Amino acid sequence: MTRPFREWVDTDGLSAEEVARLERVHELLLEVGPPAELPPRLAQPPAPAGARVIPFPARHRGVVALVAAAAVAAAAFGGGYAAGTSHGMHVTQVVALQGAPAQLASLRVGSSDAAGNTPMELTVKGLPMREHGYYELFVIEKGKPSYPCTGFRMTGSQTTVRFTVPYELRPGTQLAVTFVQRGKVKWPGRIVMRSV
Amino acid sequence: MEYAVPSVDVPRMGAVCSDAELIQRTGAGDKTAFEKLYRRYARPVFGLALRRLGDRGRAEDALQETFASVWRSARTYSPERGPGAPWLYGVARNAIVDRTRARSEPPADVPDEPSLDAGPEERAEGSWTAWRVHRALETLPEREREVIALAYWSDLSQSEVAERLGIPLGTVKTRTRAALAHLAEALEGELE
Repeated sequence: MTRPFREWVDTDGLSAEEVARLERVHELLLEVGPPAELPPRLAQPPAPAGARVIPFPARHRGVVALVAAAAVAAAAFGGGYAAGTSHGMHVTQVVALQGAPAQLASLRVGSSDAAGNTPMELTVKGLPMREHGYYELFVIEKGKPSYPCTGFRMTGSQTTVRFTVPYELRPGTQLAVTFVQRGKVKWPGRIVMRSV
Repeated sequence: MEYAVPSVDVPRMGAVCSDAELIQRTGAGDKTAFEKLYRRYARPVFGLALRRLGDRGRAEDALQETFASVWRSARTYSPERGPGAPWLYGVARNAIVDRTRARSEPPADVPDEPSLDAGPEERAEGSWTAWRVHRALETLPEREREVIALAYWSDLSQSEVAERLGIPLGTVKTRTRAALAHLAEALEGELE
């Protein structure tokens, strides 16, 4: 259906300049078309878990944010940032990962055995359950996912997986969770969470 | 310096709060500001992603990644370097480009004939225009927005729009004109 401006909009009493302005908007609306409808599940903004005011001086911002985020992630899953025990595993470090605001993960790293196997326990919260794909935890090297740790699927709003890797995880190692979608996103997938 | 959200600022979180202010508040950890940004920009971001990627699933991913990036990087935004809308557009565009690179399908064959489709510059300009217009729509009162949606993007005549909304034809015309005037105001600079 055509939309002739003069038939569509009552221009009585408007100056020529104002008519020209409105006509330009009229043309723009026809040109750009309707905005996309959001899927219902994305209609509401994600709740930023852990969003809170953290006062700190700018020069320490990165360090404080890291510690705060790690603490938030660890606290969210009932753990602690310091060493402890989890399912019989002596935890030597905890790494927090963050994706979208409500998406958090905490990786508990255990002590390596004599052969170099390192037990880990990854608890992930907030990632969507996806039918045609899976998530994978990687060690980041040169900014890219390089060493796979384990793959997993979400089983609910929170999922925990336990596994071992044949290497030790140095403190400060960067990690990421990727999503691999069969037929659409090739391995190693796209990053959905990073260590903070 | 300690950052706190004073209670007297809450009423200012309405439509008059600028994008730049919301981004800065988001950077300071204010989740209300983040949610406000999401409500303002989710549809423009999703529309842009859908237009560029042509796939709803990947557009949804791009939308989520965009706002994850906004949450992570809002504190790097500086209003001195420009208004908030272009900054958000840049964040969205980067997330969409990442999705484009993530595609595993081989590229399409190069056609023998030159394409009549818009080139990259025209597409970029068209995307930015659509972004601005769709963002401006979000500033309209609901009753004006629904008239615009039905009047411009449905197959209904104005009489049918009036019937659908249960309002007189004259009111449809009045609201259409008022909505165009509001959009013109919001799109100042886009109308040259």
